[in-house]
Formats: sequence, structure tokens, C-alpha cells
Amino acid sequence: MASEFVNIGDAIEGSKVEIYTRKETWKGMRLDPMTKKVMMVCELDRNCSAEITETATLTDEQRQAHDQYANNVGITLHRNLGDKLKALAITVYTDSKKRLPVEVKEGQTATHGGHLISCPKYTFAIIKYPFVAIASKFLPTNEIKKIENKNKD
Amino acid sequence: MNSITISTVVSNDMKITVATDGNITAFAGVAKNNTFNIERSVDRDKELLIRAVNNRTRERNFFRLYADMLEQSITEEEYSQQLEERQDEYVLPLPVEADMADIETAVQLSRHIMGVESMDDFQSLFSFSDGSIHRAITTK
Repeated sequence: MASEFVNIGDAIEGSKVEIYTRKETWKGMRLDPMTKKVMMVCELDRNCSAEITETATLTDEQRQAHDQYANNVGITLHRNLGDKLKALAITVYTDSKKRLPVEVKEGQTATHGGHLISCPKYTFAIIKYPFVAIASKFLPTNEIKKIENKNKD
Repeated sequence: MNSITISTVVSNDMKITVATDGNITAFAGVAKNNTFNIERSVDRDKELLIRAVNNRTRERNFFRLYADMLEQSITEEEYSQQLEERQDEYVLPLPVEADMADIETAVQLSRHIMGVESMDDFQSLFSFSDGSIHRAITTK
């Protein structure tokens, strides 16, 4: 059954994933720690979502390896059709060597509209902790405020 | 006999009692770690900085290659071939496990590095795994 997930550590994987975001930053190519494949990474920002529109085709071995990885690093992996992440920030790994096309909706400009991205191949997306969660462990309060203010811009 | 002055400093982050006779001052107390810049290993600082520079270089190399492909200086096939054959120059490596000391050092360093604004920026720069971050945040 499809569900919405909003907690840090919630993740989805699918063969096709639809993304909605107000802002996306393409981060380049990385080795995905779960699949060990080279993937294009995009960081979504400002009330974004990622939804499975086609379930991932995985072998039993792959499924087991992904579950084991998720268990080791403390993430909860969801795979059902329609499963959706909703968060302030989501990191997306998609099986592509190039940036994917972005469709702008609602507004007149790329800055103000909602952005839709269709990921046509295997995609893994995860809700990450905000940076302030780790920074606040080690930095003084005034530094934390600077980080929080930057993230509001 | 010299007189001794004893005073106590109390704030949200520290409680310290100070005793002085005018020549010598002794103090004792407790403070939260974030009140101080705790001394770190310079070698470890250097290693983490080298890792960060190399990861930034990989990102720069990738976007240069990508621009070459968009400008059609190289074909899509050449672009894909470069990515496959010279992966270490263009692709960020698998993240590694980090202990609390490494993460603390990296957080302190990141204050001085441009463009570290999100957890993803931080993790990708220093190649820290999700598990290490999760453990660091959930450990008291």
C-alpha cells in the first residue's frame, strides 16, 4: 500500500520516480553507497517530494543487499508503487550520466515555479538530517544561528 | 597572610569557580564542549582537508567534462567513456566510516570552507557515510 514518509532516514527506491521541488542542485556523479553504481546526484530543497511511479526490479540478492545496507546505516527503505517522501530536503541518486530535464510549473520563472523532474531509470532518494543537526553538536550557538539564517535565504 | 578572593562564573554553558591570591589563580569547573575549540590532531586536520580538496577537484573535473559535452567539444560517447575509464578523476568515491573525532574536526573545518550549507555538502566533501552521521547525531 502506498504511503507518505516524512521522517529523517526514510528512503525510497524505484525504477521510475517523479520529483517535485522548488529548487534542485545537481551535485555531479557519485558512487551510490547502496547499489555501488555511479549515479547522478541531485539535492532537492524547499518543500520537495519524490514518488515511486514504477517499482524497482530487483533480484533477491539485490533486495537483500539493499535491506542490509539500510539496516546498517539506520535508514528505512520503501519500495511500493506510490510510496512518497515529503521533506524540506531530499537527496536523490538517479541512474543517469546527465542532468535530467526540469519542467517548471505554476510560476513564470524557473526561480518561483514548482519544478518537476521525471527520473526514468533506477532512482534512490533519502531524507537526510539538516546540517544544523550535526553542527549544533560541536559549534557555539552564534555559529549555529549563522547556518540557520543561511538556510532560510 | 595574603587574602584569597573566590568568585564563581555561571552561564548556560559553563560553571567555573575561580580562586586568586593576587599572584596565582586557580580555577575548576565544568563546561559544554561547544564552549571551547578543543585541540585536534593537526595531521588529521590535514588528511581531512586533503580529502576535501580531492573531492572538490573531482566535482570540478566532472563539471568541466560536462561543459565540454554540452559545448560539443566532445561527443556524448567520449563523455561516457571518460566517466567509465577515469572514474577516480570525476566521480566521488564511496563514503567511509568516520568516528566522532573525525566528524567534529570536519565540522570545525567546514566553518572555513565555502559552500558547506547542507548535510549533503558536508558528507560529500569529507566522504562521510550516512551511518557515521546517524551514529554521531544519535549518540549523546
